[in-house]
Amino acid sequence: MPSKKMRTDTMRNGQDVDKDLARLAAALTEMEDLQPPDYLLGEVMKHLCPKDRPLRRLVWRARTLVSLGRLSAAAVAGGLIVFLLLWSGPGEHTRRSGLGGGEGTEVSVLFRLPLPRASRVQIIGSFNGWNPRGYDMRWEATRQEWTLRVRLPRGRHEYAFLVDGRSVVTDPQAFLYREDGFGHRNALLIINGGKSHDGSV
Amino acid sequence: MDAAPGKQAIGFMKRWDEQAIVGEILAGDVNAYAILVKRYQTPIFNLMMRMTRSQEDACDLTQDTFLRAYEKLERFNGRHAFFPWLYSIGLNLVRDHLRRKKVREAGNDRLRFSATAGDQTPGPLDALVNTLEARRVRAAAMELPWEYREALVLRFHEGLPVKQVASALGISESGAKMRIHRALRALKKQLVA
Repeated sequence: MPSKKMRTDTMRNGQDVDKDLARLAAALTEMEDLQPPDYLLGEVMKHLCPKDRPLRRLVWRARTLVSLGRLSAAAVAGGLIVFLLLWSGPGEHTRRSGLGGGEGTEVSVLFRLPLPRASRVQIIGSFNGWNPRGYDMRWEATRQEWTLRVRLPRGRHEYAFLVDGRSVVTDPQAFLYREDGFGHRNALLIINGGKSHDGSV
Repeated sequence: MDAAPGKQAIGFMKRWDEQAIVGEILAGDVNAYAILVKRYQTPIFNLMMRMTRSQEDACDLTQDTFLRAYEKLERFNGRHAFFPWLYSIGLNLVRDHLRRKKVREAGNDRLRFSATAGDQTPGPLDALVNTLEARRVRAAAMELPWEYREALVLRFHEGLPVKQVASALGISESGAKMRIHRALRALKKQLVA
């Protein structure tokens, strides 16, 4: 059986070893890094194409934020989309045209479109009968984007941008979209009790 | 040697920040990816330099790592830290590269140190470590098998918690703890050899 002195020596040696290892760990922390060449960032970025997948973003968020248990991310995201699309507040059927404030639950919504090459941009949507008259956006040079603030009632609103009087452009920054049945997509804006849910507001 | 509370808070904030950045990239803001490239190009480049010992190969592989990560970004789980995920992509790429070039990974042909629990050599190391430059530790670390070396770099140089070291290396948490422990002992043996 080891003597008390031997056990003490072993303990002291063990403490010395711990200190040695701690010093090595500290030295590793202080190691200098080699710097990558300056051109590396540019080389990476020039090969990238923008991702334009709002549905994938929604699925990614659902997978990231929600504890799934046995549910798949697609099932959760799909359920979320269905819930949002089917959601309707009280009296929504009276405001389907989106015109008028009704019960005073309108929300101020800022529409934005970064499109410097356009000469004129107007908003068309379910809230104005898809008629751009009176919905001209203004070019903000400092922000390099077209903007227009509109008061909208609670409910679901589909919209798009009419560019130069002839091209219909889907809002690239919207969070939700809906097929229009003619092969195109409209952005979907959901306003719930003072809060709007879309990607461009 | 867990991270101090300050570092944990910073790590937590960084994770939320990176979650927002990845969300923006997936929504179409490609320029947001530059934040992640700037943040992690140095450690990834250093990984490639350690593995290939060639600046040209290291540059190419660093670039490939970020391009591959961008392609697979939808698969990144935003609840976890970005760097270990990125690092694991880089590690797989460089190992494939070395396999293709049929070049032995640095340290593979070295003696594998079997650091046992009873391996205690105090005394001379005190003086050695007191005057030890970080460069010497780096040189010694380069002599280790890559599995040991990368475990040490991730844990002590990059400051990752053990769980993230495990994630980056594709091993279990207990495996990472054991590897770090053995790697430190192997490094010490290398320095006093």
